[in-house]
Amino acid sequence: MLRTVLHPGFRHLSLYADGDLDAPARRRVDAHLERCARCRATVVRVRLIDAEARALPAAPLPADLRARVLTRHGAGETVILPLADSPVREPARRRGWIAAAAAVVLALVGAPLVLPRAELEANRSDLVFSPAAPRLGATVQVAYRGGALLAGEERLRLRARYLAHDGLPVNGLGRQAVVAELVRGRDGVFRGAFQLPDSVVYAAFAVEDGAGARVDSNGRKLWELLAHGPDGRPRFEALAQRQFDHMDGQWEQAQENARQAAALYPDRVDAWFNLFFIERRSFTGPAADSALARARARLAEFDRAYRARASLDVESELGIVTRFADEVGDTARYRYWRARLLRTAPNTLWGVQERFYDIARVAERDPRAALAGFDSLWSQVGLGRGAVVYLSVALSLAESTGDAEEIRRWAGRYLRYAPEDEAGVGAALARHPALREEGMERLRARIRALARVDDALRPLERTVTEERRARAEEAQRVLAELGAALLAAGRRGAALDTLERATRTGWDAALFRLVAELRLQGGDTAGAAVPLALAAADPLLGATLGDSARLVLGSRFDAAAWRARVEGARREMRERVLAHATRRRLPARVRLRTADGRTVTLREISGGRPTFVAFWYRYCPPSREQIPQLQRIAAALQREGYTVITLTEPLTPEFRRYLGEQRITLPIYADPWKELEQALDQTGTPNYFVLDGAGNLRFGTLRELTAVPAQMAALAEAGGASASRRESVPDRRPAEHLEGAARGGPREAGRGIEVERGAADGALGVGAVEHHAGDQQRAALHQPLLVRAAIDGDVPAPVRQPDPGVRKHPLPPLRRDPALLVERVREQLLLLHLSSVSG
Amino acid sequence: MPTVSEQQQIRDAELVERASAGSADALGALYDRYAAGVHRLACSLLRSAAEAEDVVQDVFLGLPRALRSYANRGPLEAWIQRVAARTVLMRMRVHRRRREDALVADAAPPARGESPVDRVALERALAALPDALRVVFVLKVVEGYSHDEVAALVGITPETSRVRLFRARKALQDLLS
Repeated sequence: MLRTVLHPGFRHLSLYADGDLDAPARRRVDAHLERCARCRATVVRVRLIDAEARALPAAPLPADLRARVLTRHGAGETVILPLADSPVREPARRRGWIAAAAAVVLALVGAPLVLPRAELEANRSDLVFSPAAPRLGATVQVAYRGGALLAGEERLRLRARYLAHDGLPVNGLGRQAVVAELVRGRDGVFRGAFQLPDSVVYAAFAVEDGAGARVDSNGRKLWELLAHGPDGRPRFEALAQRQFDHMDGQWEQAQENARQAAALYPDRVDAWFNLFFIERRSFTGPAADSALARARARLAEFDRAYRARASLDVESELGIVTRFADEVGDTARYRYWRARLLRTAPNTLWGVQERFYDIARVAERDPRAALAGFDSLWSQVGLGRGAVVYLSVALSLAESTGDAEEIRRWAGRYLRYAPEDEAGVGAALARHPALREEGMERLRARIRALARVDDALRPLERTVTEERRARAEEAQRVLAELGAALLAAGRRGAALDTLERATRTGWDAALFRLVAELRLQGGDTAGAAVPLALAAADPLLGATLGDSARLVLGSRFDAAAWRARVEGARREMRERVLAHATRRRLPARVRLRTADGRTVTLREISGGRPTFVAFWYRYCPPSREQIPQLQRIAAALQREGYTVITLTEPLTPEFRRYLGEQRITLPIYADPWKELEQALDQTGTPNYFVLDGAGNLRFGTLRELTAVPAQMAALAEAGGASASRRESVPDRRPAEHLEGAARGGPREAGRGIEVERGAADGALGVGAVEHHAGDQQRAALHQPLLVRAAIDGDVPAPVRQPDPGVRKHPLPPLRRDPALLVERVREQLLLLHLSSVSG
Repeated sequence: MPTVSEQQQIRDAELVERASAGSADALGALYDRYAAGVHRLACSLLRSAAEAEDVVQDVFLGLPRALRSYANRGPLEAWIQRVAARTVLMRMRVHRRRREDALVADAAPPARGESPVDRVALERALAALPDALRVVFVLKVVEGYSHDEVAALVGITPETSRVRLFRARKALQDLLS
């Protein structure tokens, strides 16, 4: 019974809060509450939560619901409603079979007759693993029920990305592989089996046809398998690997995963560390403060418990608690644990890391001394799992010293661990006069490598065609890099030739302008007109160029002639951009909800115009970074009369406040029925889609915004001016040499490079180019073009060396800023930690 | 002269009669009066906007036929609310519910530390409760039914209803602390 000397149980406090206790019990609780602040607080909190729950705002009633009900009513539809209260379900042992049968009958009679609704999910498929919670090394049976996508096949391939607990390299090399063949049974279900390698704790899967032409990626979410422990919980390492995997594009899931791991493994310091790791990078403001406070409290608990212990596991305890202390900024504890780590385990991953930091700290003052330190560390202990990170840091540092020998040495070491970064290293080498030839050789090697489609590198969700396209695009960027290197080497002819090649497919306005500049500097105004018109046709760059593009060409074009030329270039843009478009019909009914609670269809919003759809989320760092750019581009698109739809978190008062403070004016919709999400296979943020006016998905799953304006403009062009298509193709047909090279294999690609080499030797090249040097007037006119473009924030500044594009470099380039080195290496090593927690 | 509530009842009785005879106008008028309440109840019980919408449609499509057994038993609004609650409960039993439809995205961050009970966090916590606990919490605390009424609606004993309420509160406190 309830005694006042003890605290009443929560159950009694709950009853008390409701006034549901009998009088004696209530008096006892009253008396207790008089004296006990803790229980008083509990009661207050119960009532507070009750009150808040009652005050929660209701979702607005969709405006079109009434009409839908009445239409269905008018069509004679009816639903049988449950009118009787449910029978009381007694515990099973006391219930006879008659009562049980009666309950079943009642439940059936009472169930509302749900009328069939048109399903969006005609294309949905299902993949079931058995066991669903496998142990390490288990044999797993797979049953795949295909949707429309893979219909008609007899055999399918199951591809997987495996993550091991013992630290595969961070750069994601060679993780994808076909793990099973699935054979269609008489019942239409595809079955197969595979054995999970002992080291694999987490795996993601996709199903594809034998040629990799059609891929079912479960709406880009993939299917997942986590290795489980004997206690039935998913293994901690499996959760850590999943978090790491999701941090590449699915940040929200990664956060959720970290929370789950901490809830399942509250006794593991690495669970809390991983949670804080992602929270610190996700939250701002009060949420960040409370995350930090929580993490500090946790650290203090582990610190107390661990200090009492004579020996600690380096990988999962000692190393982590050291890092944890540093991450939360607890200097005293960091100092203690760091000393202990260096004393007891100096040659482990974590020990080496601390020693690496020590060296890195002097990098700013004395990069050469730091390099010597790295060199000695490298020769003493190797760098183990962290090698790729350390080496990229050392390489950047070497670059900052400008010492050719150092650069060459560290580049060689680094490439052994990160061969896919050959283009990045090549570009870095090419910036150095003494290493330029070697750099260019590496760039060419990378272009040759990109001509092959490597299944070990092809992401699970990508078809072979998509992979080929992505590699062709990268090859083009590397080609531009090579052109820049040739230019720096003073081989103008070869440089121009190479850069022109890079401009022949795709749409890179900055590159068009660079080629135009080079032609102008060479006095070739005729040759400059073509790329300049292309640059002027670009929706973003064109606006900033204005009429200066025409003026720099001298008297060659009057306003009307130039307009016609740009018009032609715009049609070429359409062709080039749409060459990479898909066309997927979206379902007819996709409903969204406006900020003021109305339900509208996608069709109604888009109004037959090209439509840009953006999924963003303020707590996803990659998405947050792009918000300013998203704002600018969305505003520009709206000014041009396009439709913009953005989707993000629910519009709570707090979020509305945030939008006001940040001056975010994006048009925000909600997708409560997930109809748009499903139609687009949307997952993760940031994620952008471009739809045409007819409601087809044309460009999808874009993680970057740069191509969007040209894509929208190309769709508008295609909508308006399709009749004049033939005449629109300018004198130069869009070349397909890179795609051709990719199809034809290395030999074809090699030929492209040889042309460039030939040009360097004077055997081929720009013979037709007129070299009028130094036309003062044109030079003067040329100036404003560069200056105006340079001061515009939306457009990349004029580049002597084109942007290397997306680099696979694990570290952002550090060239001129060794001061940031420690911070960056810390970041990278923490990522490395996530990718390789020990088992 | 009839009071306002008497007027309401007269009007309700008239609508009930016409709606059960199949009048679309009468059904529309009932919808205008009572749909918001049904929707609110369904939302808080199901935590899914899409499902709540389905419930509103089901209830009003079924109303013309169901009203034949109404027979002026108490205020119409309370009767419709009980029908709606039963419809939701049946739905929960019949359909395996999909969690990802929750009204509040799982991804919403825990924005604690602003008010004693953060609204976003509370919505998340409610969505995270097992259906059995949330139903009792919502019916008892939010909708104001007694434990006897909750028990009758849900098909449990009043004592079980009390236990579930306390468990729901405990779970909410844990989720929110």
